[in-house]
Amino acid sequence: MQVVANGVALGAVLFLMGSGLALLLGAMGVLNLAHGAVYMVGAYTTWTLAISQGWPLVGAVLAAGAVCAVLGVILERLFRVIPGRPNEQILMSFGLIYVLGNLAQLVWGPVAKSPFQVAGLQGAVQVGDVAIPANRLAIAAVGFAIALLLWLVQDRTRVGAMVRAGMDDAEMTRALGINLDRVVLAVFVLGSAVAGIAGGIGGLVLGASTNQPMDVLLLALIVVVVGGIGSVPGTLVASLMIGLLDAFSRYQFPEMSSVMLYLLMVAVLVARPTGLSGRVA
Amino acid sequence: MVGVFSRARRVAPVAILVVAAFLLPFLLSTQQESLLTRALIFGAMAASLDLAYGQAGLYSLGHAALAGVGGYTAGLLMVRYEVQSFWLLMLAVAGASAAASMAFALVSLRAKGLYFILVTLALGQMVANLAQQWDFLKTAQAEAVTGIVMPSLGFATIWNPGTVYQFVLVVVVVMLFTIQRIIGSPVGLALRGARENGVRMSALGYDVWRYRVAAIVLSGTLCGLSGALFAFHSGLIAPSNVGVAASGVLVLMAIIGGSGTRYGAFVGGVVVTLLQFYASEWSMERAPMIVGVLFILTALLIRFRPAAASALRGLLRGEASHASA
Repeated sequence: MQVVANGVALGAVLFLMGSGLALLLGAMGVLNLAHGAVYMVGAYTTWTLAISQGWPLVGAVLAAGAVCAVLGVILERLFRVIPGRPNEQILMSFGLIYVLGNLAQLVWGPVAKSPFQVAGLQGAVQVGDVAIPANRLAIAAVGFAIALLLWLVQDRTRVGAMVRAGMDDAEMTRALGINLDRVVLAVFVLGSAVAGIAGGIGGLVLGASTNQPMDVLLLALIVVVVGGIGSVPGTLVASLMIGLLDAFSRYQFPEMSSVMLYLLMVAVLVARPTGLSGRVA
Repeated sequence: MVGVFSRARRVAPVAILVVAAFLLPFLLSTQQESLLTRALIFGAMAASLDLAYGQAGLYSLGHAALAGVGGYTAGLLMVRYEVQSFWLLMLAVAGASAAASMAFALVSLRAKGLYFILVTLALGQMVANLAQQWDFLKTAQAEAVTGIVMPSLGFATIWNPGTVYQFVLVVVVVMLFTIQRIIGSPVGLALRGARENGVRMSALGYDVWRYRVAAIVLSGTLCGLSGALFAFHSGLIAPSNVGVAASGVLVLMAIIGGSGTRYGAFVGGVVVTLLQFYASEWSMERAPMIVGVLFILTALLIRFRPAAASALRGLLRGEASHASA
């Protein structure tokens, strides 16, 4: 049971990491490999506000989301001026990973920040005969709340309909008079804000470090490949699967745990190349 | 007669360059020789990658793992099983990296487009994680395979930085020549055709999937051979040489030099290696920032100065390739 609780909490963080990337990739075919760097900015911002300034955690995480939303606007500008081809997008995102990672090192120092210790989330909640750490419970709650919010936005609102239309046929959507550029801007801002919140709340178990741009990117893209693009429930199911698999394999055969995730990805690719939710990239 | 002269005109500058490069050790310090050797190896690696990346349009962000298979094969055979012969080692490396690239191709080609990039990225990292966690791939209590030396060629050789440089130069020239022959062959043409329009190529009767597998296997094998050279030269191979960051740098080399052109990727590999060295020479701490800013500027430059970029490509005598321009 302890393992399941850990797995669900990890799954919630993975969902927050992956959903922004999946949105961007699905909505406009923008390959923003700097997504992990945005996560890192969120984690460090939360650390500064909640740990060194003593803000309440909720305020700090929301502020991190806001900072990353602004960063999202800047990223959108940068990705708009370069041609929409993989070459330039890869060049741009790797440049951003290097620059943001190194800036973080300059500002916050080369030593990684340990998982955030916040008053009020120290204890454990007793459910039956298992003790679930309160911080993991908080992570899972935030993760599921945001998943619900994203699903409502994508499935039930006008903006969500525009995003889905853009995924299916960008040219036709434009022809119908929808300003797809603005939709892309909105998706960039939303995706980056979610990444920032992920960094803040994920910091409760992962802390903040300058290796995160790469590490988080890899986790996020496994989620995207397994879950498929452009479906919130698909991403959620994939994240929970991966979270549980990681928790169990850490428990059963710790020396091979990180390879297991990639094997799951390979298995999904062989069986269903478009991921669980089945939208074509 | 005209044919002979135009051929001579094409070959002569390259021949002069190679001979000049071969004679360079007489002018350089030991440290510069070592740096240039490294630059040559990365140039060859980037050129091998570009066979899949630029020629076939398969945007792979996992090729450092294939180079790593080569490096680890060479290192382990040498350190654990005491194989010293260069020829035997290279044969084993070619076999191992060909097999690894085949597996890599079979999995990654299940995905298309941007998805393909993500899959190659993850496959590359999988190999790096394996190298990090599997004890068989570590020697002497280190996190890497250490204690690799230059192999024996079967005749009397005295290894010093100068002769290592000359030897690597010869191997790299042979590899580049092989790559040129592949690019110029009907297979190379079919690869570019599949890059431009896969549907039309299959309508013309080409088995596009097979050509793509061939492209990845060829480029992966050559990458593996360059990886073995890297292991010989640096004396060790570590998970960080195999991971995503390393693959990313390879791709950046190819793009900056001009992917899909004749010598672009090789030139890019040499230039970026030198750039990284001098940036870290200038400031160890801020080197990634300098390199990163240059990457961003290059991406923006491609947008704002297409003329400059195409002039550069013209200088490199690249063929016109509009898809990657």
